[in-house]
Amino acid sequence: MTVLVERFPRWVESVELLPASARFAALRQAAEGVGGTLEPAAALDLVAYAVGRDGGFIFEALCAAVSVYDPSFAASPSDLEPHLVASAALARALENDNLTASIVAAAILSAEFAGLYAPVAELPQLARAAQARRFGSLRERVSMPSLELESLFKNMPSFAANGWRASEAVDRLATATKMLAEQLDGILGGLAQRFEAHSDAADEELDVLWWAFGAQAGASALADRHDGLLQAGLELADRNRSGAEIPTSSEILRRVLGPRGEQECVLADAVAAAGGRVEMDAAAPGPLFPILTCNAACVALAGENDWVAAAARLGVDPTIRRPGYEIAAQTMRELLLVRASA
Amino acid sequence: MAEIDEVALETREQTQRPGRLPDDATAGIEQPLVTVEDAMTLEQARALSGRRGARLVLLMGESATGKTALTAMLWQQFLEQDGLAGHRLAGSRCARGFERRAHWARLAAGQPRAQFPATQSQDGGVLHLRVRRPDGRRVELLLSDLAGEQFERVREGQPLLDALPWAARADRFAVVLDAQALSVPGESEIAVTRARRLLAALQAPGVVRESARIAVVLTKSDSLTESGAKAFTRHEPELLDLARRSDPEAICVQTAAVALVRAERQGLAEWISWLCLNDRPHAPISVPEVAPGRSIAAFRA
Repeated sequence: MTVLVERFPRWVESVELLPASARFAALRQAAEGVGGTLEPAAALDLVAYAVGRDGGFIFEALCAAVSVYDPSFAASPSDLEPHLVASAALARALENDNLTASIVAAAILSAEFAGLYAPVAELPQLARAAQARRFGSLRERVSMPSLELESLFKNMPSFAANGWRASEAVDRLATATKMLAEQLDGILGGLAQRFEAHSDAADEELDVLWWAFGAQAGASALADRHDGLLQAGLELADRNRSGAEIPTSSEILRRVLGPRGEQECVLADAVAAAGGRVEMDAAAPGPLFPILTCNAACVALAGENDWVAAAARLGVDPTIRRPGYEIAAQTMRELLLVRASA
Repeated sequence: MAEIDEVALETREQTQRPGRLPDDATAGIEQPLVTVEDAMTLEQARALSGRRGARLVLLMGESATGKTALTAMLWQQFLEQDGLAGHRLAGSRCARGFERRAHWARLAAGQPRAQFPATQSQDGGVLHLRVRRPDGRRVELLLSDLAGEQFERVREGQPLLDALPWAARADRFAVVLDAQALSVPGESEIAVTRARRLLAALQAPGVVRESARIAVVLTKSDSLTESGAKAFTRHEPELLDLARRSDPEAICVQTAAVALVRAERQGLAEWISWLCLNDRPHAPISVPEVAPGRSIAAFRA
């Protein structure tokens, strides 16, 4: 049972007059289809559209998906129906345990930081739950798969039988051996991958904990530096190996940044204080990357010539106020998002 | 005439949908979209709701209880007065429908009260009204105007969702109680029982959503005689109790809408305020939390 079975009827109350109608079913099926097969490359565009940004090809894709089930469906990009379908598709995509779910979750939380919301109010909650699931699944204990060896010996030649032929027996022996080797290769390959992921996750935790321990002990003085908020986010992102955000990132950053992390700060001030000294990845500017967009504008205009207005023209509000630890966590989130979608 | 903020009628050009060809050769020329002559069909209401979201209001009451008058006089009041309790008319896609209904009130000029003919089954539908609230928010109201016979069947026992499947989508239920009937000696019990039955029909599972609101609307309250007022005082708590089983915030609104002199109309401000009030808040469906398997995921600063 997917999340839509339980929640979709409530989400469409504002648009659908007949909950049992063909349109209702079409909207839900479209959301299932789009969300279930969402590719990482389209995830950011879908989130941007759901929170009220331009639709472009995503809007066309949503309309096409609904039209499969309800050919009479016609909408314009500003309509509530396609926005709801986009939001429901995101909720569905969050249920998967894959990279797309991580990207969608991070993008939804980025939008929340920027003050942008989808018509489905609980999307940020669902995103946080998806992040926690993804975090957990990457750290699950690796269990040994059971080998079913009986089937491998079905093809073994019977050397003791009457009238056996050497060439035929060798062929069957070779086939059986190859099958065994292939199966073992698959199992060992999968195991290696899972061990690697598990080991990466464990190393990531160790790195993060030692980093936090060091920072709290005053080794990096992040709490006192002008660029401390953005730098803390960058350092935490650099220690992330899985691409999935640690669910307690904000808590760790609060501990690292101390009282400075609790103070509210205007986004533009935090970026200006960093003054371009924090080397950050490049991202396509836009509302889902408020910090990277502001930083890019600030660097490009050398902190002058009204870089704040330039960032605002790119769809970001640099005047929003957030606690310091949230700005640091958002910096980390955007960097992970850029690296995951690259 | 009061200022209308926004002409409700979009141009045909504006409403062209992607991938659809113009309906005729005149498409593209700006002209009012008056595809809805009188009231909206469910399909048209759905199209509006899909664009902006809309609040569906189900006015429930038997014939001649004043449902149509309440709707028509709300329109009339908006046209005569600039704002009603801070609410302003911001347009309608069913201006003709409202005008046709309000026309009866104007015909009755010189009389103390307007008389409205009964809504016939084939005339029923949904009337759209766009209202700007005092806080600036725009509310799209879809006011049902249905024949009273439909509610007779509900009173006789037909489940409301069988009679009106879309009732499950309604955001506001207004059960009308006719003060005139209440004031007829020996008949007050009949009027109250009818309202009670309609309120009971709302208690069937799946009819009233947790965000929907219910009101008992006493219409023609200027006709209340002393005995009618006593009957109303006697029965109001009981009717409200019944309504509050489905909506704990249910209220009673007393209106006297059909007076032709504007100053004598009562209750319309309370009526529009209730219609435009925010929905009752949803209790959020909880999102199941994943129990952290690692200490780092359970860390709290």
